[in-house]
Order: sequence, then C-alpha cells, then structure tokens
Amino acid sequence: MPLVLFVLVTLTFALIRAAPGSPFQGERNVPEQVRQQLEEKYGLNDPWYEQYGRYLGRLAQGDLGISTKYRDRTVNEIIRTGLPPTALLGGTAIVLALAIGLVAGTIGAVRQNSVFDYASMSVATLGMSVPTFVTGPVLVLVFAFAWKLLPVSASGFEVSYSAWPVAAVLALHVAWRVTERVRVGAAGFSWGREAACAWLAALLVAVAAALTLLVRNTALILPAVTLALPYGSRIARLMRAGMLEVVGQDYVRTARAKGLSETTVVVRHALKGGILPVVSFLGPAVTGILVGSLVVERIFAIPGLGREFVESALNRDYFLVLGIVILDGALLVTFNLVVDVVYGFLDPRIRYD
Amino acid sequence: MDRARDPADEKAEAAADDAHRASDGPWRQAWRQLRRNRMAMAGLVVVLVVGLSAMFAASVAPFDPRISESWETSLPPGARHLDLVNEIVLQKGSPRERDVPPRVLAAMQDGHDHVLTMEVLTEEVKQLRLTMDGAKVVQIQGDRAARLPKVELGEDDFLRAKEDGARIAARVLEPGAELPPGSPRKDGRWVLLAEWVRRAPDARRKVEAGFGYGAISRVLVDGAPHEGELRIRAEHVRDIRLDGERLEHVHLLGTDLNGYDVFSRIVYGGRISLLVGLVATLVSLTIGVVWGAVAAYAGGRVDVVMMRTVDVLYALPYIFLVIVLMTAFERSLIMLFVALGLVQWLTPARIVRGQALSLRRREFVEAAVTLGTRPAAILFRHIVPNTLGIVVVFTTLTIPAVVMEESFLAFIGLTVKFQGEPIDSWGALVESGRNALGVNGERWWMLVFPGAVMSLTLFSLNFLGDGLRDALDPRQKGRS
Repeated sequence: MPLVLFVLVTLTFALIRAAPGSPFQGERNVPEQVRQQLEEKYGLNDPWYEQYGRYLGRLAQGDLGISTKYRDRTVNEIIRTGLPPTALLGGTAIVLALAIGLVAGTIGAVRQNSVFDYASMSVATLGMSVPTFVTGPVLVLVFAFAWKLLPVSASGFEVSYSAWPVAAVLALHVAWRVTERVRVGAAGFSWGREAACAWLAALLVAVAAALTLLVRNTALILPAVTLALPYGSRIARLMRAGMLEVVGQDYVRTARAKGLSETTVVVRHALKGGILPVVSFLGPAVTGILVGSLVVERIFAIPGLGREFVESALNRDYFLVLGIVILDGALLVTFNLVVDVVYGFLDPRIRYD
Repeated sequence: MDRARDPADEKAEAAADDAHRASDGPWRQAWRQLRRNRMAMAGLVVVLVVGLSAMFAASVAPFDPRISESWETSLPPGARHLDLVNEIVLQKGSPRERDVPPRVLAAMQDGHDHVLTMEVLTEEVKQLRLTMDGAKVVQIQGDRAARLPKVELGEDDFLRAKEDGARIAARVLEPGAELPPGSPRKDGRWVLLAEWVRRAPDARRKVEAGFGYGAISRVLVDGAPHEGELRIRAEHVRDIRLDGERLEHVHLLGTDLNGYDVFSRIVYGGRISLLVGLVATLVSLTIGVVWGAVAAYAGGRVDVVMMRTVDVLYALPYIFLVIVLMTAFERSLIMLFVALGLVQWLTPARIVRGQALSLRRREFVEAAVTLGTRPAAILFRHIVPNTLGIVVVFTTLTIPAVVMEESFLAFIGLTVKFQGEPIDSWGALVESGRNALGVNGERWWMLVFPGAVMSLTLFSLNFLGDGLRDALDPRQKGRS
C-alpha cells in the first residue's frame, strides 16, 4: 500500500515536471522579474531531485504545499473546504447505489425470469451504458426544467451531518427488531446474531441517513441519483449473478431442507455468499464515484474537490493537482484494503498471508 | 408449418444439429451462438450502422459541420429551411461562389436556362422615442415628436433598441405597459430610443433572375429590370424557387446555437469517438497481450516482477493521471491514444497471462519446444493466437469504455485538438448541448440527440460484447 502511494506520487510529480512551461507563464501582466521571484519562492528553479526530495519531506509531515494559483491559500486549506461536499455527495451516492442494487439484484435472483427480473435487468444494462454526463443534464432537463420539481444547481446545498445520529438510532432499532425474528442458522454457515445485527444496522443507518439528507437537501437529489445510477446498475447485475450461483449450492439446499422459511434462507444463508462479487466491486466503484464526481460537480455547480481538480489541472496549479491526486489515491488504496479485509471476513476460504 | 411436430423428430434434429455443430470450427460455433442471441444481433446491427455512417461521414452527413448558417441558429428538429447564403448578390455575369446558394450554383453549370424567383421582405424602419419609468412605458413618441397612443406590431415586425440593436420582446406598446424581461431597462425615469422595423406583407418584392451557361443574364425586381448589383440579406428572404421548385432543406435534428446541423455534427463526432475507441483499444491490446504472454511464458522471477507491476499500476487512480497528462502536454490525437491506451492494458495483460499459463503446458506447445522452435515464435505462433477469443471479447467491451472515457475528457473541457483546431467528439457535443439548454431547457435537442446516439452505441457495444463472451467463452455465461 505505501508502495502504491509512492509510485503514484512519483509518477504524478514526474508528469507535471516533465510538462513544458511554468505555472506562471500563462498569466498575463506578470512581469519577468515578478515571475522569477515567484518561481524562486515556490522553489521551481531548483534541480528536480531537490524539489522532489523537499516535496516528499513535506508530504511526510502532512504538508501539501501552497497553491500556485490562489497564492494565499495552502493546498491543505483548499482540500479542507472542498472535501466535505464531495464526500457527502459520494457517500450518499454509494449508499443509494448499494441500497437499490442489492435489493433489485436479490429480488431478481430469487424471482428469476419474472417480469421484475427482466425489467430490472434491462434498466440496469441501460444504466451502465449511459454516461453520467448524459444522465445528469437529461435529469435536469426533465425534473428541473420540464416538471420543475427539483432545483437545477446544487451550489448552495447545506453540508450537515446532523441527520446521521438520528438515523443511526432509528436504524439500530429496526435492525434489532429484524434480526430478532431471524433465527440462528446451522453452525459454521451463519453469521452470529450480533454480527448480522451490526451489518444490517450499518447498512440501514447509511440508507436512512442518506434518505434524511436527501429529504432535507432536495438540491442533492439529482446529483446523488446521477452519480449512483451506473454503480447501482452494476451492483444489481453483480448481485443477481452472485445470488444465482449461490442459490444452487448445497448449503442453501440444506438450509431449505431444514424447513427454514424462504426469507431466512435468503437473508441468512444465500446473501452472505451472493454478496461477494459486489464487495469486490466496491473498490472500483469508489474510484468510479470519485471520477464521476468530476463530472457531476461540474454539471450541478457543486464547490467540491472534483471541480477543484479539473480547474487546477487546467491552471497547472502543480501542488494542488499533486495534493488532490495523492488524497484520492490514498482514499482508494485504503478503501481497497478495507474491501479485502471485509472479503476475507465474508469468505473464510480466502486467507491473506 | 401445419403439421404438429413430433417430439422425437425434434430430438433427432437437435442431435443432427449437435453433430453438425461439432464438425464446425470454434469460430463458426461462436457465430451460431451469437446469431441466436437477439439482443447481441441487434447490438451488432446498431454498431455496424453507426460505424459505417461514421466511416463515410462525408456522404452520410447532409451538411458540412464546418459551415455554419448564422441566420438559422437553434432551429428545432425537423425544421424546414430555405437554401440560402448569408447575403445573396445578384448581378449580370458569373456570380462568385459565396454569393448564391450552392444548389443554384450547381444548376447553373448544366448549360440549360433556369429561372430563380424570390420573395423578399422590404423593411420600413420607424424611429420611436419611449419615455420610461423603470421598465414602465410612460409616453411613446413617433416621427416629429408626435405622440402615439398605442403601437401594435405585426407578425414579422419587431422592435430593437437603437443604441445596441438589442431586441425588445414587446408585441404591444402603450403608456402604462411594462416592457417584457430581456428588454433594456434602467432605474428611474429615462428615455429609450427604439426602432420599429416593419415588414408589412404587402411590402414584399418579387425578385427574378434568369441565367444560363454559368452566368446570370437578367435581374428583375417586381417585373422591372434592375441594373447593377442587388444585395439581399438571408433573413429577408421569405421564399426562393428555382424553376418553380422551392429550394429548401430539412434539419432532421435541428441546428445548434451557431447554426451547425446537429445531425451532421453527430455523424462527424462519431468518427472521432469511435476512432479513439478503436485505436486506444488496439494500443492497450498490443501492450497487454505481449506483456501477459511474455510474463506467462518466461515464468519465475520475471513473471512475478511483471505481474507485481501490473498490480501496483492497477491500484492507481488512472483517470486522474490521464487528466494530468492531457493538461500538461499538447492535446493531440496521438497523445489521447497513448493516454487512454496506457490505462486499459492492465486487464488484457492479466487475462492473457492466465490463458497463456494453461496453454504453455499443452501438448502442441511442448511439441514446438521439442522441435526447437524459438521462444518468440512459440509465443506469437502458438500461444497468442489461442488467446484470440478472449481478446475479441475484451475488445468489444473495452471500446465502449474508452469511448466513454474520451467523451468524459471532452466533457470536462479537455477536447482533442487536431492541427490546432478542436475536434468535437460526442462528449464535446453533449457538453455544448448542456450549455445551450437555455433557462427552461427549451433548446433540448442539442443535448438529447447526441446523448441518445452515444448511449445507444455504448448500449449496443455492451450487448454485443456480452453476447460474444457468451458465445466464445461459455463458462462465463450469465456473469456480469
């Protein structure tokens, strides 16, 4: 994991350094002398290895440098203001995608070849093929312009976390009631009651929080749905395929033979195996959602990191570009690690040495 | 068939079919499989149609996407429009190319006599002086400061501010009325000098031009000969006929803000998008196949190092690097091929390595080794060709991914430049369509059509890819 980050930093650094021109060259009204002073201040005139070494040294202390475009702001500051909207949007989108995808995929697999199955799979294939930058504007066209239900831009949405604790308590309660009714299954194949409760609660908390957030912030609905659509579709397809594979296996047949109810069989036994492809997809999905936020933030004028990144790349704002790439890289690598751990937890056959 | 089918009959047929199938090569079998998959076949048809029309864009697109018709901007889909040029100049003798509509020019060359008839609006401009209170009209004065009680505009009439030529959207002007939004406005009491452009229907002139042998022989205005040159602006022409036949064309999908034909732009845009998709996929395939096959064949430490590299690169947020690459360097087409190709080669490297590992232990490879064939020859004659099935599937599934990535880059403003000129791929069209929507989305066609064509193509490619995978690699069937 540190290796990946190191390669990422080096590669990005090399790319930016290899590019012709300086970040101050494009600006007009910068006299030659001032430009040289600026380059001196940012240390751009030093040999590359010194710059690289200095950057690594600062990075180790968590200092990402100063933006060359907004000269009075550090990269850390910019990231601190840009991250909350992006995180909120991305988190809401991935929770929505999971909620829709898991439910649609499971029902599709349990009721294979039903009308619901065909309908949801067609929608899912369509959802995967239509790029976010088409869905976004089209959703705006339909819901904001034609029907006037939702606001066009989300620039002013409120970043609030107050919804989360309320949702958490509510979801815990619901999860407790649900798991109480599902009896413990055969040893070795079942989740412990506490674990099952925790998992379900976590998902429900997230869903409830996302929903409360959306109700309180209608401006967030369109961007979140736009971002969630392709991943929800993909998750639905993966979930359906995974469940179909598991449903035919012996341990599920055993569970049925014991006389367990269909709900118990699906929720307690099949789900755990069927969800595996979805879990391994979560890593790429988070990457995709980060990338997608570049587009969605642009469409809906959200002042987040994605917009900042595109602008900084266009402005050649060296340190800002580096900072955002490193942050995103770190997020992805961490997430992939978490996914690996969860995977091992769900599927005991997999062991990491 | 009127005879009820006997189940035994069917079984025999199926058996014969199976036997027949077994005698076919793997490619024919796959083709058979694919033909049975209706969605995949539909996808294939769509992909072929889109691909061919992009290939022969010049003959498919009705208009040149580089020629804008500034007098017909933002026409809705299906709008019929007269064949015109910016300014028609009629004068005895050979006209210059840009002075008459192309179809007239074409007709001139055939050596026969033709007659061009036009109906042209004449404009009468009246000066108005509006005394305003904010956006409210207090007093209207016409010529010689005469007060007018009310001004009602005819269908072709319009009002414009004298100062900057801005249109004033009012249809009726009377003291006490407010000017509609979009009109010039100031706070407090002020004076707005306006022009009332009247285009009375009875003020239409009939212009006739006769020509033959490549030259205009006579110009008549309302039946009387006109000497010297006659200039007619496109926006004043209400009717134009060549030998009695109306000269008009249809913009199937409308025109955009700059008067370019949307359909033509989509066709030409597809050329860029699909070209990028195809070439970048081939680049990534070449790297990936060679990398994977070499790693598998070499084995041992080389294999470990090569595949570790792939693992590390896999974990990078690649699209960010592509963006950095595209902004840092010149955004040429080749750069784009390289950037996108470099992103995609990791997956085929892994797949091919897996395949090659199992192929390496097969008898025919061992036979080749025994015969003393060089390793390179074994790799490219024996191992790589046998991974082709998977490579084909990968290609059809990667093209849409690359097309999407390229359009994504174009959408965030990183359009490719070719010889210094930006080229509009589908992504760029969608982006400009989004910007052109207007306050209420009234110009929807500039967004919806490019988006729909693009989505349909990606949808079809995905279905085709899925179908091919089912046909070529039945073990994977049903996976997503």
